[in-house]
This record gives sequence, C-alpha cells and structure tokens, in this order.
Amino acid sequence: MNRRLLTLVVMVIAVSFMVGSSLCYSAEPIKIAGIFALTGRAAHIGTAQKDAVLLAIDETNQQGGINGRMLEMVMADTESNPTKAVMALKKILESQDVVAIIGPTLTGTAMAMRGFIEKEKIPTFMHSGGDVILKAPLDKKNPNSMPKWTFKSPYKAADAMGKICQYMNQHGIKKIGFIYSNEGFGKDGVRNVKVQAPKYGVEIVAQEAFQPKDIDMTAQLTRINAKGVDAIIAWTVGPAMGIIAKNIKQLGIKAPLFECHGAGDPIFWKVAGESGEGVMMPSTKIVVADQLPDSDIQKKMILDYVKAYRAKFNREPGTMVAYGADAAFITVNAIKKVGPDRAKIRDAIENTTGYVGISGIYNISPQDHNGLSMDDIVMIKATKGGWKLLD
Amino acid sequence: MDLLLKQKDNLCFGILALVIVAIPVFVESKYYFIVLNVIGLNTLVVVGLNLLIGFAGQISLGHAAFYGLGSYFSGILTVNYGFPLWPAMLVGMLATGAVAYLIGYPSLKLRGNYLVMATLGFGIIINILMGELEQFTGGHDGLMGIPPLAIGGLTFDDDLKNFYLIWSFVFFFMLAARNLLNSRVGRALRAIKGSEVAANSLGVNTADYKVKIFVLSAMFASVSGSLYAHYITFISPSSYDFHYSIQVVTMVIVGGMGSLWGSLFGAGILTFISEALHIAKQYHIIAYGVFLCLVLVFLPEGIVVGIYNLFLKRKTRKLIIK
Repeated sequence: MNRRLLTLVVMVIAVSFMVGSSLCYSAEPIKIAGIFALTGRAAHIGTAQKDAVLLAIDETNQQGGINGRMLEMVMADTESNPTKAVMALKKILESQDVVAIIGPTLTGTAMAMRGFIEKEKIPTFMHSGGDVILKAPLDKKNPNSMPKWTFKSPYKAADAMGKICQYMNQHGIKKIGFIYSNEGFGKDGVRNVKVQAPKYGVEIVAQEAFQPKDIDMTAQLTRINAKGVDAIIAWTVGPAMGIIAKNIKQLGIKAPLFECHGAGDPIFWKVAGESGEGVMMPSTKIVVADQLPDSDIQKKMILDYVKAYRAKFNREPGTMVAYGADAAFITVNAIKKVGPDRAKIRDAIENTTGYVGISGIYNISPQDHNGLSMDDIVMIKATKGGWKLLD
Repeated sequence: MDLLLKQKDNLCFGILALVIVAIPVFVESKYYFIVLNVIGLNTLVVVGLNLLIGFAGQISLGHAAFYGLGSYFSGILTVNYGFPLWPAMLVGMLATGAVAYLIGYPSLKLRGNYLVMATLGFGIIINILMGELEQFTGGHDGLMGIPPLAIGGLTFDDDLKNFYLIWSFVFFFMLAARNLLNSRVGRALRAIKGSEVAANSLGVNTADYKVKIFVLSAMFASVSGSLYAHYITFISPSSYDFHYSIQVVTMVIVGGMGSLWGSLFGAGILTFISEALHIAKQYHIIAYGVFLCLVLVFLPEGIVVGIYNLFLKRKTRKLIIK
C-alpha cells in the first residue's frame, strides 16, 4: 500500500518536471553561458559578477532582445576549483546552441578551462585577473601559440601597478616598502612592481611577505617602517587588506598606504573599518562615477548602469561588477552585430575598437585580447566609507 | 559482509567490466564522460585509501599530496624535461611510494593515530611547495601544456578515450586490491583489522604491514594523479589542497570502510551527487551536507554495507513472521 503511494508520488513529480521544462520557453532564445565561482573561496566575487552579467542580459532583453530573440544565460558554478570548472565547461558545451561563454572568476579555473575552450572553438570572455591567461602560450614549445578564443575584461595587473608608481612619481614619493600575500596574486605583484617602479624613479627599499590567512602583519610592517619609507604598497585581496590598514594605524606609521586594484570594493570597508580612511588604490571608475568630470565619455554609461544595479540588487556595485558587466556587454554587442555564430562572434569581439565600457575604453585586437590601457585606471582614496577620485 | 563479497566478487568484476564496455554505447554526452572519468580517478584514490583506513585502521589526511605528487611528477618530467610519458608516471609512482615510506615508517611505529598528524602536516607542506617551487611547478599560475598519454599511435586526447584508459586502470587496480586482500598479506591485514594485539601475538609484524599498505595506498593515489594531469593537461596547487584529502576520506566512509566495492560506490555517489545537486543552485552545498548527515545517521557502516545489512534484516524479519 505504502509503496504504491510512493511510486505514484515519484511518477507525478517526474511527469511535472518533464512538462514544466518543455513549456518554459516558447520562443527560441539565444543562449550564453555564464561560468562563475558561485561557491568556494571566491564566491563573493563570483556572485557579484553573476549579478552584473544577469543585469546586462536583462537590459538587452528589455530592449527587445536580438532580432526578436531573447538572450538566456545558462549558469554553471566552478566551486572555485579547477577540475569542477572544466566539468562545468563540458556540461555547458553539451548544449550545442550556446554561442559564447562569460567567465570564469578565478585565474586558476580560467587556466584549466583555456585549453578546452581553444579546442572547442567557443568565444569566451573571462573576468579573472591574472595576466597569464593571455600571456602564456598554449604550447610551451611554440611561443606563438597564443589563445585565439579567449578574451579577458579586467585591465592588466602590470598597468595597475604602473598607475600607482606613476602617481608616486607625481607626488614626490621615492622610497617604498612592498608587502604582499605569499600566493599567486601577491607574487605576480612582486614581479610587476620590480618592472614598474624603476620606470617612474621609485625605489623598493623593503619587501616583505605574509601568508594569506595571517591575522597580524605588525612584524613585517615594523621592519618596512624601519627602512624609512615614503609609502607602503600592500598587494593582497580579502581580509588581509583590512588587517594591514589596521596594523599601520596601530603602529602609528605615517607613510601613506597604497593597496591593489581589487580593493576598490565595498568589501574593503567591511574588512578595514575606520582604519581604511586615507588608503589609496588604483580602480575602475565605477566606484567614483559621480565625481567624474562631465567631459568624461564613460560617465553617463557608468551612472546609468550603477542606477540600474542599485535598483535591482539594492547594494553598491564594486570593481568586480564592472569586469563582469563589460565582458557581458561586449559579447552581447558582438552577437547583435553578427548573429548567433561562434566563429563570427569571436571575430567581432576581436574587432571591438573604441568601445566605451565601465572599466574603460576597450580597443581589442589580435595582439591584445584585453584592450584596456593604463589611462583607463584612476587613483582613488578611501574616505568616510566611500571613495574620492584623486587626480 | 566480507563473505558475501568474496562469493560474488568474480560476478561483480564481470559486471563492472560489462558496464565499462557498455557505457559508451548508451552515453554520448562529453559531460557525462568527464563526470565518469572524475569518478574513476577518485575511485583509484579511494580504493587505495580504503586499504589503509579499512584494514590498517589508520587515517591519512594527506592523500591530496600523494595525488598531487603523481600529477606533478608526470607534469614536470614530461613538460620540463621531455621525459617519455609512461616512464614518467612510473617514476612518479615509485617516488611517491618512497616519500610515503619516509613518513609512514616513523609514524606507524607509534601506537595510536599519529599518522593523521604526520600526513596532515605533510599534505600542507606539499601544497605550499607546489606554489613556491616556481621554476619547476609553474607556481600558482600552474603547469600547462601537459601532453596526453599515448600507446603507439593511439593518443588519449578526448573524454571517451580517457574513459577507457581511466576505467581500465580502475578495473585492474581493484582486481589487484582484491587479490592482495585474498593473499597471505590480506589475511594478515584482516587479522590486524580484527585485533592488532592478537595479530601481534600471533607473529604478524603489524607495524611493517601498516607501512607497506600505506605506501601502496599512496601509490594508488599517485597513479590517479598522473592520469588526471595527462587528461586535464593543466595542473595547479588549488586542485591538491586539504579539501581534497577530506573529500576522499569522506568517500571511504560513505562507501563503507574495508569494502572494496564500497570504495567504488563512495567515490561514484559523492562525485555524482555533488554534480547533480547543482540543480539546487547556491544551496547545493547545504543539500550535500544534509545528504552526508543522512547517510552517516542511517547507514553508519557506509552505503554498500549499510544497504546490504538492511536487506538482510528484512529477510530475517520475513522468515520470523513466517
């Protein structure tokens, strides 16, 4: 008796699933895949980017879609794990009608996916930070085997470092201390600062590392301070951004603190609290859009997007949001131009020039699959829970 | 339980072989193949680990490191030094075994669960080294461009070919594990599982056997790691962190400690469930946790053993009623 009831229930559920899924969409939508770190250690970045991409797609759909066809995002979660990212990619490639991919979030997952993307020939706009995605050849023995189908929206980390050093040069800062988290992102920063600092006449007199999960950096900061530095650069993301700011206040160090381009985000204030006051960093214009001069051609675009973002999600967008949105908009524009064909979309993305985005003005070319330059980055200062544009 | 498995073991291996051959006939999706391949890779690690947990009664929290050593030996030797593919894998396996011996020898001489601490620390050290030894490992950017495995003219460069490759390894390694358990060594291990003191008093060198089984279990993980590296062709430290060690221990426990077929089901079910639960969107982690709790509360002996016991109970109850 009981078993019969159970069978009935299972059958009803199964049938309702089948009917439901076939009735969901009457018109044929154009499918774009979104692969994000929705769970795992980068979940806070991945979910922000997911929202940004969803918003961009909603906007296109409200304007009537592309030639009457709506856009639909197929979503997958990398769990911040390279193996899972490849699995997610394969799952998405199962449905042949996905025309482009946006994502993933982390550089490690991006690198694991890259080879398969090139093999499957599907245009992919990544929003992960690492320059290595575009710099490393696909085949170690052939330095010319550069990725053809892979693009990325965040500006190069080298340019962000360059911007800081340029600012220091303009403001008479000569001797600096560099403190970084001892993992991929931090080490990339060390490589970059060694190239960029000499270009602008800045000398690195102290260099200290800490472990990503450390909860106190006073020892390293004391050593740096003892060298009599004019400023300190901290290259890390996550809670350490705030810990360093707090430690500097506790130690009474007068040298100004510069942080990385990932710091211009509401998260910064959560981890730093009041100690965040006065910290400077390179950033996209999204967090200081209302302070931009009216002559700035990005201003209107950014303000519109920020308004829509606030209305929909009821929170402030950060830098990570800008990267997700730009990747989505450029891809959608390419689809608008050439229709839902993978190869044509790739070519259209590669020929995007002078596109006014949120992170900057994209001039993508076969040699540069990113397309941003140092001029797209602004220096900002953390004040009173918000940001001030520096000149 | 053991009795049932021994009687029906050959039948089970036959079924496994049939299923492996038959799956590609029914499945076309590349996605299902990568899921099956990841299940296969996990099964190799879990079978090895289960020999250690189920029979030597010792837990290792460093199997991600052995898995990683296999991957990195294969990757570094073939990419940086142009080593031939299969010998690189063999070198990785032997070197991993040697490393495991160095850790196991002192810590398994001690009574109690000292191996847990040793492997826990070891796993973290290896994970840090993967990121730090940049000139060899490529650091946190990872090691890319690892060539796929090949036999003669056959290159294992897609999901289907890798399916056959990985699952052949699973089949033969499981067969080897079964034969080992049915040999003199296996009897000694079973004696240790039953009572270490009794085994010792009967002249079984328990410490020695435990070290041997630990080395063997590390080698299983290493082979799996090598296969992974050649399949995905890219490796980076984040695949080999502490979480992976925990994950494989969980698979052993959910599948059933000391059960060979439990290893297969533990790896299969947990890998599959974590994929299938993506339907639950961001709640999939909660759902996964709930599933684990349910299994451990209602089937504490593991899924395979637990369900078999339930089946037995039912049978006896029916007999009693009659």
